[in-house]
Amino acid sequence: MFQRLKLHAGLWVSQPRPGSSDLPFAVGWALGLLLMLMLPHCVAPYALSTVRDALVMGLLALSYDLLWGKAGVLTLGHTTFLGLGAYGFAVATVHFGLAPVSAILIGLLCAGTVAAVVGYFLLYAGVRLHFFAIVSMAVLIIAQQLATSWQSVTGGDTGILGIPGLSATFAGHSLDLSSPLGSWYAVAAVVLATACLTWLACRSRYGKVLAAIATNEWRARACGYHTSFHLLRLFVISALLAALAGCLMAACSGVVAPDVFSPLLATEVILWVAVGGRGTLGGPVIAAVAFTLLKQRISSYSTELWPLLLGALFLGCVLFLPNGLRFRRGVINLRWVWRAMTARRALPGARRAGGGQ
Amino acid sequence: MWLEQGRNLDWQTMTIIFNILSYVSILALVALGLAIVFGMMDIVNLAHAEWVTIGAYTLAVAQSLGGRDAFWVALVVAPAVGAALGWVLECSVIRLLYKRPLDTLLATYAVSLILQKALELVFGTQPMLVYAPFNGAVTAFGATYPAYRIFMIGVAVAVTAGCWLVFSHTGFGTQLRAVIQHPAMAEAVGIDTRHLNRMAFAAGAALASLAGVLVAPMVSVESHLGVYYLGKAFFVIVLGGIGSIAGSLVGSAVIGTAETLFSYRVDPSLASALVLILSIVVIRFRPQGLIPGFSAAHQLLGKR
Repeated sequence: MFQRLKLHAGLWVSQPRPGSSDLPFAVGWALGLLLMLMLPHCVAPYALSTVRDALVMGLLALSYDLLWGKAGVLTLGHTTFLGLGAYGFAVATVHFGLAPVSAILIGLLCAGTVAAVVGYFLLYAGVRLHFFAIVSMAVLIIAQQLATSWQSVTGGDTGILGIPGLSATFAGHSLDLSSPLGSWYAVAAVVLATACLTWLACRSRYGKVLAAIATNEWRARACGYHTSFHLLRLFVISALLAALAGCLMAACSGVVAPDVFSPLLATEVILWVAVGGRGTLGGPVIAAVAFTLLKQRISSYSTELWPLLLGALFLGCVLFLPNGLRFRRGVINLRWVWRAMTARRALPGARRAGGGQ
Repeated sequence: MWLEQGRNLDWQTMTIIFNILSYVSILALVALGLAIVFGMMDIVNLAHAEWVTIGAYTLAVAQSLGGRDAFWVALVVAPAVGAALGWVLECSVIRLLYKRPLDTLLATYAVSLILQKALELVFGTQPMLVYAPFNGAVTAFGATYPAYRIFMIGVAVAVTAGCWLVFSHTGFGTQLRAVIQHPAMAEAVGIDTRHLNRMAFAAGAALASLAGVLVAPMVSVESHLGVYYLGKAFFVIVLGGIGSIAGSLVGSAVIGTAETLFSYRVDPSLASALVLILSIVVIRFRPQGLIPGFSAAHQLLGKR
């Protein structure tokens, strides 16, 4: 029995041999690692904390990319799980005085349970595409209403203040990560580790199954895969990652307000993934960091401008960039242009050669 | 004394029934347009909620210009404005996305965001001033109930009945049903589906704007007024069945009744959450909706 289980698990996670297609991610990941180590020496602590908050959003984008980009499940309420994680963490630390590590577990548990219940009832019923998207949006709206009106737990409109930063006690050694530098390393390490793990998972046989479901669910089912179960598992994993982002957000900023459930943030998540390129893992993270920094820049001029700009960007992206900005395709296009240019230079000779016939 | 108590109870029940009716009628008006557009074009119009808001704002503008009695003008003008704007949206954005139905969802989402913020920029974030056209109460079936609400229920019932008549008893309605049932076949027998889609889209927008005018005197008119109804309207069409008027009516009856009854016992937001959970559970066991529409392709998997 154990042997069989081991065989199965080995089959699922077995990796293909490294090839040239792995190069972009490996290089990007190494650059990210370099940036994580170098950035604290290059920028001021305040700027570092701004980038850190943006990077937390990058984790959210990664979790949504896993769901929408890899498995093609569109939801409009992914921030429900971000909010649940953040509120779970905040309530556990502030109201119950738990240590941050166990509070993170509570936050993950909240989001995971809701995702599992909602996902089970919807995905197993065959609810897909538009329907899944709109029902998830309704879940988000109701979560927002609950967060605003359930004052005794969530603190109403003001939210929960004074959330402690990250710290861990491990076998007598305590590790304090609440300083700007410490939290930067913590957040960057979590993002890099998650990116690496999701990349490995998507590279393995499991990723192939997800791709099959995303391309044609009927056919994948005919091949003998329990597609609803796979989608449910991915939905829960993605929700857990979003909740982890929520916990980090709550711990880093120290406050949680009902804003986390706002449809605006949910829109931004979709925009990040759409612009960064669905299913590229790295692209959405970069897009999330860039857009969050841009948003802070613009909001400092005018708070009304950003949502309008966001809507316009979103509309333009859907109409004209259905596949996002793809770096790889951009490189291919550049190569094309280069070839065309060199070919034009070579043309006169070719014509002369042709004329000789 | 027994008689007194009985009458008292009767009065309470009638009030509850009137409350349910007024909520259901608004929900049905919002959901009707959404369901028909969804059934015909396979498009989830997330900007539908904004047309409710546009209707309410039209009323507010009309009343600020012409005083209280401008309500009657707005009752006619707002659907016209809504239909015109819906027409513009169809021509400018949705027309480009007929081949990519899932992207229309995102595009209309963006449009709803832009409209909401544009309304805030033009009119400010504070609630707009709106008055009911008449005050007073009417005694009907042993219950005293605000006259305006009864008027609202009457208008909603009349409009819904009109829609049903058009849908089931006219040539135009037959064409609409043909497009819902099988768009390619409808085109083959000579129905101009593009034109019909555009008409239906504008009509749905007009219905939503009408709902906005009717509901405005009872709620606070803000830029995110419609979002509240949109979430419910989606449940109505998912629960009721796609592309059938009867389905969306039954759906709004179920959702509206459940929510009104719940909100007598618990906090309104908790009532919404309970209704949500209830409908998700119902969807699990009846994914095709309570009254499935006449299209076999529109099961919950979407059209492929």
